[in-house]
Amino acid sequence: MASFFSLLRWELEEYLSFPVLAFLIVSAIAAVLFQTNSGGHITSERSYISLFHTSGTVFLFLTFCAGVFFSRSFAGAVGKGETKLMLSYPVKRWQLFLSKFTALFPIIFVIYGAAYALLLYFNSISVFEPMFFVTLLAFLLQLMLTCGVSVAVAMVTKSEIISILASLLFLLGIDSVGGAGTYLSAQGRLKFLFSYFGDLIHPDVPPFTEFSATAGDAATAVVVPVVIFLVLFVAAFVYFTRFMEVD
Amino acid sequence: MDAFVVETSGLVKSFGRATVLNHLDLQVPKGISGFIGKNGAGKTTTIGVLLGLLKPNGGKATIFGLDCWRESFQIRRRIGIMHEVNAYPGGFTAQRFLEHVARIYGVTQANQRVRQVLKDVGLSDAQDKPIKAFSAGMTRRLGLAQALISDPEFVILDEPTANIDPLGRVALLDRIKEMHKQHGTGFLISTHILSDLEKVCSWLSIIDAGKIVDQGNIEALAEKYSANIYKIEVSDPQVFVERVQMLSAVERVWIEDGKVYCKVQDPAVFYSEIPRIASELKLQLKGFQHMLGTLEEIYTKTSGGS
Amino acid sequence: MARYSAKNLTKVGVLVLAVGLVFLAGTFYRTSTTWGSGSVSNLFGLAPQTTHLVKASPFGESDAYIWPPSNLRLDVQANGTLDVHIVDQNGITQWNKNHVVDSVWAAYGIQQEIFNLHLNGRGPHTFLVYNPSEDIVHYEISYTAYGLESDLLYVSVVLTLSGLVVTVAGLLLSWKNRKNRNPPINKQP
Repeated sequence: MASFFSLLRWELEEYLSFPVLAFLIVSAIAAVLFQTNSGGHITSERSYISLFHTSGTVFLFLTFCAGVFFSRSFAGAVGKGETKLMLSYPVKRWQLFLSKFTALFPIIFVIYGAAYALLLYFNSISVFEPMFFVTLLAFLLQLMLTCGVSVAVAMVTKSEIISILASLLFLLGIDSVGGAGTYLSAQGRLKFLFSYFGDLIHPDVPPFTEFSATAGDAATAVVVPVVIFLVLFVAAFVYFTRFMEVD
Repeated sequence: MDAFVVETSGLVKSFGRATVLNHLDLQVPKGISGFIGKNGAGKTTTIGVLLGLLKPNGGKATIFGLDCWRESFQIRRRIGIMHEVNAYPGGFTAQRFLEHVARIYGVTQANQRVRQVLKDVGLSDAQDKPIKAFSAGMTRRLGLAQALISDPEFVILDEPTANIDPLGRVALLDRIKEMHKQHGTGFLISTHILSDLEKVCSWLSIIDAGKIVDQGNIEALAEKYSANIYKIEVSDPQVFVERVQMLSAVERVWIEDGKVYCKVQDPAVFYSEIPRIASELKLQLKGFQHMLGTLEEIYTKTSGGS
Repeated sequence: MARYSAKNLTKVGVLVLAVGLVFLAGTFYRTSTTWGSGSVSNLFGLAPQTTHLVKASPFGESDAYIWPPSNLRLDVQANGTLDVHIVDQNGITQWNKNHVVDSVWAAYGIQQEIFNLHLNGRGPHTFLVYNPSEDIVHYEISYTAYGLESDLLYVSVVLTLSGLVVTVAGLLLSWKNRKNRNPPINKQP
């Protein structure tokens, strides 16, 4: 276990060191500040709705950053010969794989979540507003999907740039094609979750759209990205730990 | 000869249709050994298999008697490795990088060990410099430092002198020799630069097209692949040469720095004739030495002259 | 050790500076995009001697607008005199609970006027309109929020300047450390 934590420290220092971490923080703040409120007038009774209307840029930046970071850490390390170096030390393959995931995933999520909390201040929303946590859940699902796709593509291509391009084109392509009507797109998932939980938590406030989601819709919006993530992540993990040859 | 540290038998490794290692039978004893072959002969692939980075398609590879694929983790705890490609994190300082490596190996008092190793490889002054600012020679020395950080029993060096200037190369090889002398660390040096091995190795394995073409103690190989040249010191070289060149067993005779050199076709006849001629001419035979083959000769003869 | 501190100080400085700059850029960007304009009016007119909390919500305590601390342009058009108050969250609560007017801005006895004012607080604000006259008054209040969000601007400037100071301090420290490590060679006479 000691070498797992050593690897974790290595990953953090290498992939989230000063300029990269600064970029991540600045990009998350920019994603929150540089968005337009497409929802018209925000009123105090319905202020939580602004969380829905101002999430588009955050989803875009989150997908981009996570795609780049996971591709760099997994495919980039193989391409540069760093994986070969690491696996020449007394390091177990599962430790290396999971240290990469553990170093990046929570930090990206926490930074974006914290930056998004700025909206609570801007729009006078309570920190305990349940819809804020529903939005965070949507971010988490998007991060899981991005992570699963990027890591799987990285294992196949072993090239940083191809991995970045392939995963981003895939994820942003789904968003662009599917729009808000599919469980696969970030906005679509948030719409289903927001609509269902919005009606549940704020029944006295008129729904923010005419669309009304069922519990099944909300559950599917959660289950689809989780299943895709698990399938891709486990496949990548098994390939990396049992079959991958490093030359 | 002690038991071999590294041993492969019938090792096969293919990438698609290309067979890179074709029934490779490598044996490496403890000590400083050379692993030589042309570019593309299969040296780096062999090292990949030895480290458990590549899974062999057939045959067996062991280090310390442990299977290189299944027991790779146990092997890696006991050896150090310096790869040909520099993949060290450029943003780290040498000190920080080595501290990380030391922690992975579970080295106690990592800081002290890092300072010691940096001193051993002559990088003490550069410990706070980021690796990306290192010259090629410094990077190779850092590679040696990370390979030695855990005080391993055996170290594999893949092209350790590639891209460094002649002086840096000599210094690096001297350090390897010193390490072996001081700590008894074994080394396997994979290279395509013959002159490197001539200076430090006691054992040589020659690989060509994925096969070991010959291997053994360097002196034995030199003997085996010698050019049958003898150096003879006599009281009157001129008279001696005139007589010796009449022998049918001798192909060519010449004098260099007052010594007689003979290229011989039939050593057995030559051995019996020389003392007889010397006594016949009443010359004093001061010295008689078989000139061993150079590494270049050995390599040329074993791997097809390229 | 001192060199590491100087280096880390510079890193922290650059990070704060970068965050400050992105806040500053965001502040300018948000002036024209986040909050817009609108108008409120009463259909049946405001009865004499009565006060009306604009947009009183049927769904809850209030349905006030969330305004940033920025400039506000008010265009009041009425067919009689009015007192117009702007109340914040506290004022809304005060009015709803005790019918006490606790406004952050007020104008009295106005009929047709344009005001340019600055709101300092963030959060829900709304209008409280009082008809002091003896007649029913019809009115329309048009509003436009514009300009920089003052709290965001303040934070941006503080962060940018702090980042700049810390970065420069870090750079000076490392320059000084470098100078101490490599003292100039004294020339022999």
